[in-house]
Amino acid sequence: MHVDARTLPDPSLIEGDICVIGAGPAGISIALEWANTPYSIVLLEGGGDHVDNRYQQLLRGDSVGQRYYPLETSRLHYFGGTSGHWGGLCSPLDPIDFSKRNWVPDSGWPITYEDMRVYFSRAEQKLELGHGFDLETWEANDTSLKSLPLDKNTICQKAYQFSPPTRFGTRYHEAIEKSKNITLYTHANVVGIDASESLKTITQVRATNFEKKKLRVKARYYVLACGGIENARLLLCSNHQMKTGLGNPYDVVGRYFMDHLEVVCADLMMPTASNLKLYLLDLYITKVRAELAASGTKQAELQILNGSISLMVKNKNNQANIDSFSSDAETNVKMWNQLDRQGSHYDDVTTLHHSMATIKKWYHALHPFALRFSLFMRMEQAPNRHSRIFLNNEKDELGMNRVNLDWKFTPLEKRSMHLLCHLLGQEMGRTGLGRIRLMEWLVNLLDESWPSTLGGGWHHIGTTRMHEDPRKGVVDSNCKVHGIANLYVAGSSVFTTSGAACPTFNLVALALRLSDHLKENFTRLDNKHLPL
Amino acid sequence: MTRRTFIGIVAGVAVVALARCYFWWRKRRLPNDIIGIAALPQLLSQVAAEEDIKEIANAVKPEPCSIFDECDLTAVILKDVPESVYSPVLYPNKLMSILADKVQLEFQQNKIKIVNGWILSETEVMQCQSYAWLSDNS
Repeated sequence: MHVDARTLPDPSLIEGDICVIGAGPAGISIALEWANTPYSIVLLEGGGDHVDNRYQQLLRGDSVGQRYYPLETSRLHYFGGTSGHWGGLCSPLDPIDFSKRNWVPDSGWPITYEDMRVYFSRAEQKLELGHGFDLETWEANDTSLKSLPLDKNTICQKAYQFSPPTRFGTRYHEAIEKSKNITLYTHANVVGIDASESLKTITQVRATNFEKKKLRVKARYYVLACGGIENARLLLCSNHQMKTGLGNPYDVVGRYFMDHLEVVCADLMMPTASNLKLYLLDLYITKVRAELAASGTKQAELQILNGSISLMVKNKNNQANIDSFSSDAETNVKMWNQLDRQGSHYDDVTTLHHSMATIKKWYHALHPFALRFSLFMRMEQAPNRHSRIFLNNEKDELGMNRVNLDWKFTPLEKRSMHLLCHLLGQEMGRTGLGRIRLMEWLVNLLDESWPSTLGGGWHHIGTTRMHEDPRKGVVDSNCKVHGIANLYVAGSSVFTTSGAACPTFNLVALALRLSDHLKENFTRLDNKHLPL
Repeated sequence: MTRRTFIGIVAGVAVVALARCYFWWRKRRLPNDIIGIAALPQLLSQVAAEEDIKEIANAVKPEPCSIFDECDLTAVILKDVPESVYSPVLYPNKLMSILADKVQLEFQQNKIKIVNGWILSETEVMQCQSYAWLSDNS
C-alpha cells in the first residue's frame, strides 16, 4: 500500500511491527523481505515519488574539509533513494576488508566475510545481477573476455558486475504498492526519535512534511535506513533526552565518515592494442568489468589500504567527476532517466556479442586508439575519527539542524595509491604489456597535497559504524544500536571500513542479513516461524 | 708520512688506475652500433615520445664517477651479457632480445626507478641516458 502522508489527518498515529525509516536500497530491501508475513511494516519516505529540489534542500549542508560534492545532491531524497542516480557498479567487499589490519587504525569488523557471503546471492537478485563474481566463469561464458596475464599473488583482478542499474523506486514500486502488509508513507520526514525514560527502548518516531502535518509512528522495532549522512544526522538531532544524541554516549555518531578517494592517478601506455574488453566500460552494455587491485598478501607486506584501478580510454576531454557534478538534483536524475531509456534499446546490441567479428568492429569503432589509458583509482579511506559529519546551527525548513561535513584523510591513502600504482607498473613491466606514468601529484610521497580533481564516489560510509565496543562503534554485529533494544541501522553508515568496492551491493547484503536477524527475533518472541 | 701510509696511497692510486684502464680497454672494444642498440629502451620507445626519453635522462641524478659517457653506460648495461652475443656484431636481434629480457627481469626483481613519474627498470633508465648522450653528440 502507498499513502501520501500529506493526505493524513493532523496529527496522525500509525502503528506497526517494524518501522523502516528511509526507502532507498536498504529500506526497500528490508521491507520487501517481510511481504506476505503476518507482520505490518511501516516504510517511511521523506520525499515523494519524484525528485524535488525543495526536498533536496533539506539535505543541504556545508563541506568544511576536503572538497566534496554538494551534500544536497550527492544523495537523493525520494522513493528509491540514491539508486536514482547510481551507476550500477557492484562487487562484494574482500575478506581482508573485514579483518583487523595492524597498519590500519580502527580496522576490523565484528563480523567476517563468510557472515556476509551467505547473503550475496540474494543481493544479486535484488540488484538484477548475472553470473557471480568469479572472473573465470565470465571468461568461460564469453570468449571475447580475456584477462591480462598478471601474477595473481601481486595483482588480483576483481570482477565488478553492472546492475541495469536497478532504480529501486521504479523497480519495486509495484511490489510495495500491492503488498497487503507493507505500507509506504511518502512525504513523511522523520524529524525526531523518542526513547523511553531509561533510553533503552524507542517509543516512537515523529515525522512531518512541508504541509506541516504531524505524524507519529509506534512500532516494536525501528530501522534507520536514510543513508550514510542522514542516519547519523537523525541520531544527533534526537538530542532532547540525551545531549549528544541518541545512541551516542561516547561521541562516535557521525565520526569515521569515509568515502572512496576517486581520481585518475596514472597513465598506462601499451605498445600494441590488446583485447581489453574485460577492462573497459560501455554504460548499459557492459555486464562485467575487471578492476586491478593489490593482493591481500601484498597489502599486508606493503601495509597499504585496499584500492582498485580501472582503465579508461584516454581522452583529453575527460572531466573529473567532482567538476562535472551538477548541484541540481532534478536535472541529474532526468539525465539518468534519459540514459536509462536509451540504454534499454541496447538489448539488440548484446545479441550481436555472439559474433566475434562484430565485437571487434564495434569495439574498435568505440575505442579506435586504445593504446593509452587513464588509470582511475578507487581507494579505500582509512577510518579516521576526525573525518566526520556534525550538526551546525542552521535549521532546515522542517526544523532539523543541518550538518556539516569535514572530510579528512591520513597519509596512508596517498601512500597506498602510490604503492598500488608501483605494483601495477612492476607487473606491466614484468609482463612486457606496457609502461605506467604516475600523475605528478602522486610521485612525491612527502607532498601531502591532493589534486583538485580528487573526488569521492557519493559513498557515505562509517558514520554509525559497527563495533562490539560502544566506545568505538554505534551498532553491534547485528546492526543494533548499542544500549537501545529496538533500534537498528541499515546502510553503508554501519560499515566499519570502506574497502575498495562500491557500497550498494554490500549494504543490500547487510540489509538482508539484518532482516533475517529481525525475523529470528520475532520467531523467538512470538513463537512464530518466519522463512528466511 | 709513515711507510704504511705511503704504501696505502700508492695501492689506492694503483687500483683506481687499473680500474680506469680496464674500463678504457673495454669500451674501446665496443662498436658504435652496439652502443646504439644498447641505448634503445625498446618498449619505452614504442610508448613514449623522444622528448620524454630525453627528459628522463635529464631528470636522473649524476652517475658514479666511473661513468663519463655513453660508452661507459653501455659497458654497465651489457655487463651481464656474454660478449659472444655482441662482439663482433653478429647477433643484433639477439642482443635486443636479451636486453628486453633483462628489463623484464629487473621489474620482477623490483629493480625499479620512478623518474618523472615513469615506472622504469634500472637498465631502461640507463638506456635513456645513453640515448640522450648519443642524440646530443650526433
